[in-house]
Amino acid sequence: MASFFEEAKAYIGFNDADSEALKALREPLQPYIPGIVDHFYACIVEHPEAHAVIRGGEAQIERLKGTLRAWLESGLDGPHDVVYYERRARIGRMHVHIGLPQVYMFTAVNVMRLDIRHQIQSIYAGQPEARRVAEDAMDKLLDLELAIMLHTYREDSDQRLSRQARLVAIGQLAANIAHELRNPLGVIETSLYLLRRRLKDVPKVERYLDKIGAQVKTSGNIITDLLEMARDRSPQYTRADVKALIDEAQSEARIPPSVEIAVAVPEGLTAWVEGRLMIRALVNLIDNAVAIQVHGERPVSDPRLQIGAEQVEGEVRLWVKDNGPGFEKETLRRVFEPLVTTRSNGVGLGLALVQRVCQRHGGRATAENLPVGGACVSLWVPHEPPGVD
Amino acid sequence: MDAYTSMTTGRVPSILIVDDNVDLAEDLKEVLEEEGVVVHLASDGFQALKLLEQFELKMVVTDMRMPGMDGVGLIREIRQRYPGMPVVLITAYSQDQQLAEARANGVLAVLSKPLDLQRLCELVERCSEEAERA
Repeated sequence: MASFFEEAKAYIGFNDADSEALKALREPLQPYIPGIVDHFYACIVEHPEAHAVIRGGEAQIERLKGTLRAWLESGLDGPHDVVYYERRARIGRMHVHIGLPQVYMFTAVNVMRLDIRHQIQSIYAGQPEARRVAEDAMDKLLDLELAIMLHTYREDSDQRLSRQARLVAIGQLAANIAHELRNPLGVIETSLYLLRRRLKDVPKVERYLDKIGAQVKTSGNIITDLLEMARDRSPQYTRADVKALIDEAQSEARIPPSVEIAVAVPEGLTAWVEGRLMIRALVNLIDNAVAIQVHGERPVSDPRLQIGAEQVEGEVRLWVKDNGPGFEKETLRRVFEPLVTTRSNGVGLGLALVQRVCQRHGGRATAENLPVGGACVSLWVPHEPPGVD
Repeated sequence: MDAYTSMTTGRVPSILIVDDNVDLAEDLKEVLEEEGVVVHLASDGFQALKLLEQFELKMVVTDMRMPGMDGVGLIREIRQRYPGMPVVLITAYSQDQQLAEARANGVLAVLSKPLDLQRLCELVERCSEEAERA
């Protein structure tokens, strides 16, 4: 990483003389730094999109001003070495993290560049050579800062791409394995069928056969989910009755009698979806909500399911609420990513599939913890074909 | 129709199951034989075509992926040589393109693994009845 810094310094022509010139500028510039910093943030606040990145309001802006002052001062002080680079890169990564669009870095640094130049002009009035040296050094420093910031964006996008490539590769591998597993499962299923016939009247056997059958079914469902994730065709849309979708999902899901169920769907509500896919997604949500309340690490004494739907402008929102412990804060942000699981025995496919199903419909899935406790996952899908609503 | 009636009427429906997974093929044979059907087994498309020449078969149930001639290839051949032959495709693979081709070649049904045996039995029964009427 340090080699990048040395290379950037060499390209820009930043050398020890520049470091010296900046050090010399520190004291005369010091009185103007608060004004430069104020102007910098005034410009950001004026611009709605740049301002949107700062979510903490006035207090945060005051804190950020302090940080920017220290940034500018340490930029003048140097030394401009590897430790300096690492510190600057950390700040750059923070920009990436909060999602600051790169264009604002350039425009904002330019605001600062012009302000500083004006001050240099007055500080070194009548000393053209000193002024030129200071201006050059300042320009190079700010360009170096931009180069470092851009580099952190590059690192981030490289990482994201390789993560994505890894996920695609895992997905393909998983889909292949899923296909292969269907064959042995098929044999188990047919052998089980025959075994049931042969052992019809043998006591104490049926229970075990049922267990095998249920587990084969579960395995089959995992495979179906995996293959559905890997698929890329667009949904076969129909105008589906939402209540019927929920009824079907409810009958396919494994809901023990101890779970209290309440369903609330407006009469006649329809959605523009592929019914099979929506049922699959709903079954996943219901199974998840049951598992977390009944088989989770912290089972609850009164497991409940609330399933519902409503029309929200051009969309239909279907939701499943539970009475469980809710998502952990860290998991909540990543809950729809593949291989992120909320359960100790989960695969991490269910909610990823749910999200994938919604996205294929041009919609989305959202997750939240409810103020009254428990979690709610919502599916947002089209109400009508494009152009009808 | 059970095995007894079939035999007494002299019209035992014979079908062909084509699958390279011997365990599955033998299980299916056993299930269908209990339904009164005579079942021949082949493990790839070439072997299947040979058996079709040798026996008077009423129906073919074939896997998609097999070494040698696969299910899609076999269906293509059957369409040329025995245009009216009912074919059921069983598959662990749901690639849309292959299924579309199979459907275009007029398969009676596509069943995915793990198999719904009830449905397979119904299909076999339906074909036997139709063959009998014909």
